[in-house]
Amino acid sequence: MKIQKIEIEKIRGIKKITIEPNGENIVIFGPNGSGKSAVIDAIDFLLTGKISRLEGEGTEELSTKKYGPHVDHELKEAIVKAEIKIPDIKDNITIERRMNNQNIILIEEKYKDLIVPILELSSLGQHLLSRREILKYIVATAGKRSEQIYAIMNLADIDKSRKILVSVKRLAERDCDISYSSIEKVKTDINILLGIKEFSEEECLVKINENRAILNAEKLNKLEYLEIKKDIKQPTGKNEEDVKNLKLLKLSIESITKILNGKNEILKKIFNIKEKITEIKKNIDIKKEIAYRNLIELGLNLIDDKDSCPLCEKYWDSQELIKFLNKRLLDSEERKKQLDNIELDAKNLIILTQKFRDSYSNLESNYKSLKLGTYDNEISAMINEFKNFIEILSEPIENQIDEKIGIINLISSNDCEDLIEKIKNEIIDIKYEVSPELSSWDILTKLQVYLDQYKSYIKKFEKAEKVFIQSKLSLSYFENARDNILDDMFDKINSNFVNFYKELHGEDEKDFKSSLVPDEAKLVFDVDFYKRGMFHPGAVHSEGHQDSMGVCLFLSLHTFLAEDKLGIIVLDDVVMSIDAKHRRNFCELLLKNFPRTQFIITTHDRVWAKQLRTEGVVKNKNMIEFKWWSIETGPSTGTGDDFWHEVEVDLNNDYVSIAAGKLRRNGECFLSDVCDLFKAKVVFKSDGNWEFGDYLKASITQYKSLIKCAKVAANSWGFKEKLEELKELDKKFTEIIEKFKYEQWAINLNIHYNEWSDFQSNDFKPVVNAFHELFDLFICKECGNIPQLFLSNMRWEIIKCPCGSFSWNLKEK
Amino acid sequence: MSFNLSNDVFKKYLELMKEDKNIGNDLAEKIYKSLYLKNSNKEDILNILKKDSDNNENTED
Repeated sequence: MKIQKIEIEKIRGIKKITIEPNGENIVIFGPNGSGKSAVIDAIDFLLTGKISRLEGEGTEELSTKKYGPHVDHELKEAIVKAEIKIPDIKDNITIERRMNNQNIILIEEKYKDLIVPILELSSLGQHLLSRREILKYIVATAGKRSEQIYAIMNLADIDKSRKILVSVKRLAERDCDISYSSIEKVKTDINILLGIKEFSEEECLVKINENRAILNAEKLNKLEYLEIKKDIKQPTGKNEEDVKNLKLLKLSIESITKILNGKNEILKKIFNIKEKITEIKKNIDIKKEIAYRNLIELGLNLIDDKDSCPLCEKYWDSQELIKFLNKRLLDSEERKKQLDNIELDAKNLIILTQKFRDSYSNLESNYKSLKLGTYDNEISAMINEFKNFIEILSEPIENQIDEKIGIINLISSNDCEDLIEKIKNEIIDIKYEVSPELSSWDILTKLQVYLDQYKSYIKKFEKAEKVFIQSKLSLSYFENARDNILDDMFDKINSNFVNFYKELHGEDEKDFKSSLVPDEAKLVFDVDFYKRGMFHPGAVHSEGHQDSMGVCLFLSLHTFLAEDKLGIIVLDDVVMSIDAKHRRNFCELLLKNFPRTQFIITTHDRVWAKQLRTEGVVKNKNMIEFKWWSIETGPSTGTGDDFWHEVEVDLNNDYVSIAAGKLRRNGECFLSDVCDLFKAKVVFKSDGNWEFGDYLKASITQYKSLIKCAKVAANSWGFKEKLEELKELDKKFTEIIEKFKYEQWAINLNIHYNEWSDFQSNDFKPVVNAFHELFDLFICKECGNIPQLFLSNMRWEIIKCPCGSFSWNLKEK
Repeated sequence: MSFNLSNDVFKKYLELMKEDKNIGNDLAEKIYKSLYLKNSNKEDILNILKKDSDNNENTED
């Protein structure tokens, strides 16, 4: 869409204003506080129903409704109305939004569908780039940037869905772990019962058949838990329970003795962790380190554009603070890896310790069933110590470092072995009579229960494992799909970004490259720094470079998402840190890459506004100056063409001195542009204080030379028509010069125009008209721009305007 | 590429899941619809997976 005309009433600092860009680029320039941004706010409101500077992060007490209308007016009086042009639609379409009904856009029913994509893109901020927001893509953390860009790209639901699938995978993994633990527990019970070291179905079958042999039953060929006691009758005997319990206790002791043989492994792991912790503690305080990292990460999320530290509220340049904190995070990355490593070791240690705990729990149950009582407390205390140890190991590392180191004594000492030895001694003399048949019957009975549990747990585990695998796959396919689609998108955005940046910086950055890569929940953006490596964009580049990166990334996103669908970009004071040379490149970038986009640009910098005209981004008539502002009247405006009209009005009112002043000031401004673009030779002044006469003389001299050269060139090529046209222009030029008797006062121009204010109105009018005609000769009638002289090998080649209608070849055949 | 990139991503997601025998057409459709169209949460998706696993078990039995 393109704005043909916009009427703004009672919005922010504007009482009433009408601007008519007619679908072309415009620049609104003027000092700070002259009301330029109110126009931006009004366009923003028209397209989105809100004023973004009054909404969002850091604007808690502000709102469009409260502060959108002019301070002296009510909500219902605040209105923005525009006539817009949409491609392929012949008529202008009128759209209107009122602040008392800010969510509704008023538009003819038949055009409603056409405006929807435009409003959607605007709601994503694709219509507006302000100075305030320019750096948000650049200095943000990778996580924050991902959020912002995903929001702009309408991809928030992708990130949300990925997070859901990550949680699903975690839940499925937890279910799987629980099922696995149950299997391990019952396997430990079976190991103890059968007195085997490592559970296997083959080993079980051997033991079953040994016991079946005692009971005179046939061998089984495979493990069928329901058939363990097949063809066996229960034997009879006394003290069955005691005998069984004693047997089980002995088996528990045997099992623990075997586990204790593997104590070295657990000790090795503990010492390994201890060593790592000791090493890391030499350099840092772990608690502080983790807390500090958390604080930095939290702080980074809280930084806004208020230029203050979110913790102490003292002054900090926001970008500097983000740079500083990112560097601190980077510095502690290696230490974080070390701590993660320790966490992993601790997890493995938990699994080993659980075996100890389970074995001692089994011992406790069997010991207590004999009702001996001597070591009940010691066994319980030992189990509790294992439990505590596991609990401590399961806690976040920063909560239990010291305790982890302290508790090593439990396993490193001989307490475990001593207790087992004492229990062994206690039961050594206990003899319960039990027949081998009864013993085998008991073992087979208990084994049947265990194997039943084992089978059921295996089934549960298989289901849980399948769900876990599917959850892993569904997450992985989602990330693949996302990367498949988005990598392509980010490649294109990155490629556009690099091209724009190179165009903006020219030779200086001809080898520039960058990478924009999604990495899980982050969007990592790194840029080259003069072949010294890839860096965060906020790390080593200057403010000007960061500004240009912000603009280029915005334009790149815009190109990808919205260029042909939105058709309008509002640039609110955005290239202030970019120097004049690069601003020229920026103009070329806009003209070359966005020929179908209407730019509405604001700036407080008159030089930049002029540069936009001389580079052909805006026509003279589309330069709107906001001269001053008052609360009663709003902005006072004028355009690049207005001053002729203003001079005429002043002369009609006999304000000759005012008219003379305007002609001189505006003439100086205009003719300095002419000299610049015509490459005219202005007599050098060491104080740089060139005046109207200096510019006028140089412009006229150069124009004469150029037209003479153009005539010679046209003649040499045999372009008769062009030659005639040039002759006509030359004649007209001579007549104009004659009109204001330039030759007569050329000797001392500066004195002459200083005397204008002494003229009578009627005497001065012909001078004004003559200058008006003269100035018109210096600009293209079609695009309103001043043509530019181009050289080749230090020789004049051509002078032409951006639209090409004014074009003189200066090169002879 | 269309503006609605989410749609493109979810379509590709469905396509990839369907290609995998460990997931299959029915389950893929259920996850896709639940995640994209019904805006379900993690418990809903986990239940879909568990239910599918139960159903398969019953079929096998």
